[in-house]
Amino acid sequence: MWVIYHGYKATSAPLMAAILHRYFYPSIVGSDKKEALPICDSKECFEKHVYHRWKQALSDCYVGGLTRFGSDSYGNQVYVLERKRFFAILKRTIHTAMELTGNWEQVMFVDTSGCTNLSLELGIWFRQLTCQVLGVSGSDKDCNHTTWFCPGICTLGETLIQHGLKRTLPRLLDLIQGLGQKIC
Amino acid sequence: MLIFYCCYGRAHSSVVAAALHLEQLSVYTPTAISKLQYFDQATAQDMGIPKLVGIDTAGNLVFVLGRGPASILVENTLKSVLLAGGVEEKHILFIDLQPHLNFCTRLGGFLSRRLGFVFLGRQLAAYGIWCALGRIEDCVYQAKILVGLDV
Repeated sequence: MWVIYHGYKATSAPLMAAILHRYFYPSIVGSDKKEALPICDSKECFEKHVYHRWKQALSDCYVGGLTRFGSDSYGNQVYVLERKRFFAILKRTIHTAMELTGNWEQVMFVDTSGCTNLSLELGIWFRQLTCQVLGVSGSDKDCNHTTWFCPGICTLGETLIQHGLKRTLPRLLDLIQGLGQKIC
Repeated sequence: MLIFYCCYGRAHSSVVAAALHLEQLSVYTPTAISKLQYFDQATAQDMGIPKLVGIDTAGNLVFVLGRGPASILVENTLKSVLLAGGVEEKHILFIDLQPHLNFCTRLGGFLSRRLGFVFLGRQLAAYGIWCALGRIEDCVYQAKILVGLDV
């Protein structure tokens, strides 16, 4: 099965949902209490398991549209879709292209737009703005070079992103838990 | 190889480009253009769906694709799914015809497809395409060179 997490922009909630799904799906679905999950334990665990993976995924060559994010432990393909306002068009494209290649796998579209928040979106915007102004690709490595140049904006962006990710985490866990056994 | 001729609504310029590629347009007149099989037929529900219109002499599959307002997103999404399905990147070619559209074609397309004035809109769009036929032919010529067809 293909599980496609989609949102207006792919780098915020959809990417985070894909990370959670790919690495923690069995523990998320298996546990009744979200507090039991290691990612919710402490700041260090959150940074180690979630934030660094999010930054790593962001630094991969990302061009918009549909991006593959690997497979979960059940063999389901996890995808991230940047859809802007055009979900209906892109949904048709995905289904037709799958038929074209003879791929008859089931597709589950999961809307993450209700899970994002202002801090996260603003933080990502600051981060991208800093990278664009300095003419770098937006990768993590490049962004480190910018920290000496405009530390204020970078720090603000990073702080907002971390704050936003923490706030969006419970909503995304609920969303993924809601998928339940459908995709096992 | 998969060749996608892309425009906004998959109704006019992409259809004519595909017809030129497949050598289905024998006479270059607005009437002949308006009589093409898929000319001015697509609706808004067809946006994002690639339509196979034929196979050229080298065995390449020729599609028309209406991307609507989601131009780059549709291309990237389509490419991702095709790559996941085992199609090699070098075997996918997108030809964008939107820069070659003129005012007549846009107005004709709007009248016919959006407002439902089909007769007037179709004639106007066909006339606009006829005016821009040289540029569309250049595009098709470039595409044929890219896929290694004798031109």
